[in-house]
Amino acid sequence: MSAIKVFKEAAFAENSVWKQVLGICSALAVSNLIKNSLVMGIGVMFALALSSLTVSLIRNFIPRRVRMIAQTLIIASWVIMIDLFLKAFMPEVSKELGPYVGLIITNCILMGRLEAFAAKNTPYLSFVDGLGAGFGYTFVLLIIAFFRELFGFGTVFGLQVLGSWWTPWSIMVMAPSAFFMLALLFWYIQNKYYLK
Amino acid sequence: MTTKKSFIESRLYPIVFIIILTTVFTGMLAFFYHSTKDKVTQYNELKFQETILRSLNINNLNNNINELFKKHINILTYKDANDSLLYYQGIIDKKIIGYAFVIKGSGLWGSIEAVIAFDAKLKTILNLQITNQNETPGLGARITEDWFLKQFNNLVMFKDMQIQRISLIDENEQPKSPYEINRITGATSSTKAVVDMILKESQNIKEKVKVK
Repeated sequence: MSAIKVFKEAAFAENSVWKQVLGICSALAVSNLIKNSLVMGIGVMFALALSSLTVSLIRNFIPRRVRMIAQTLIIASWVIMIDLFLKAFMPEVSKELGPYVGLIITNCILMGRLEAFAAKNTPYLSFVDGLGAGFGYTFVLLIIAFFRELFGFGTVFGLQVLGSWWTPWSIMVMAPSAFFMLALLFWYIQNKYYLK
Repeated sequence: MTTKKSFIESRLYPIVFIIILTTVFTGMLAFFYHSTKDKVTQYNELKFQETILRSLNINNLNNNINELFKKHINILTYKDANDSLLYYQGIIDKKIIGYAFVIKGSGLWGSIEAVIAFDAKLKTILNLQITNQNETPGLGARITEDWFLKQFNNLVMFKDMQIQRISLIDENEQPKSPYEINRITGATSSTKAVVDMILKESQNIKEKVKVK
């Protein structure tokens, strides 16, 4: 299997959000601003790729009955290391990320990909799969965030695009709108690509 | 023999594996933490000094922040039998321009920390900056946005020694007085938490710190 195919499958055909319905909590929580979604998405991409690489490297030594504990330990360690790295070398970015980095540990996409792919495949492909799944997750977040921010604040990436004539739809900023947007996205994707 | 091997494989090996894995990753984290600790501490100190200077409207921060802090800020302490309070006196051309305080309150998910600066008579808020918060991203976390914080600038908190009341109005509503604060849509609790923190801490400061 080629790396490009693995990336495409992880990002689109087997997208963690719309195909496997994973990572919904964070997708709902952070998707009311594009900037927040992008930051969360990039964090997940790095944490997932590095965790996948690590699990794949030691996959033949991990005893089956403790694999979940091992995976959680690996994910948490990488997330904390990314957090420390950002605090020391990119403090402004770290400040922007705020609590998002810690939230990555609880994202079930990470456990899902480690269990479904990294535990059975080579390190290189697992790394690519991690990047792909992270990219797919970011992609979904950005689509939802675009509409929520546009209608909720009248802005895109913090820039005002709808004039003062626009009355912001407050519900788009709040959690319920994320459910509607996610459901609409699921409906569209499922109809267009899967239910043929 | 088979039983012994099975015991090692099924019981002992997983335990040993997890111990080794935990030791390796804990070691990596400890090493990484210690190698970056000084850099992070240094940055945090500098950022705190910058926040204090900005809160007192000393904004020519192109100069060395550390030198500016030493030149313009006096660190003072209030102490009584039960409590102590560290605060920062801003001085420009030998004249006191105000006082900055670190204040704390309870938010929706955790504590909120801020730096509040008052004028030299401790009556009017000069500036408010949120330094730490754990509110909901995209909702309550918007308490750090400029438009929200600027509403408290130049707010006279004490008239005839009495603390003034603050009421909340919708985000897009036009305030009729400076004491009407636009709340953040979808984050009324976080907005209220900031206002409560300001009221409670302002009262506390006023009771403890006496200025001429």
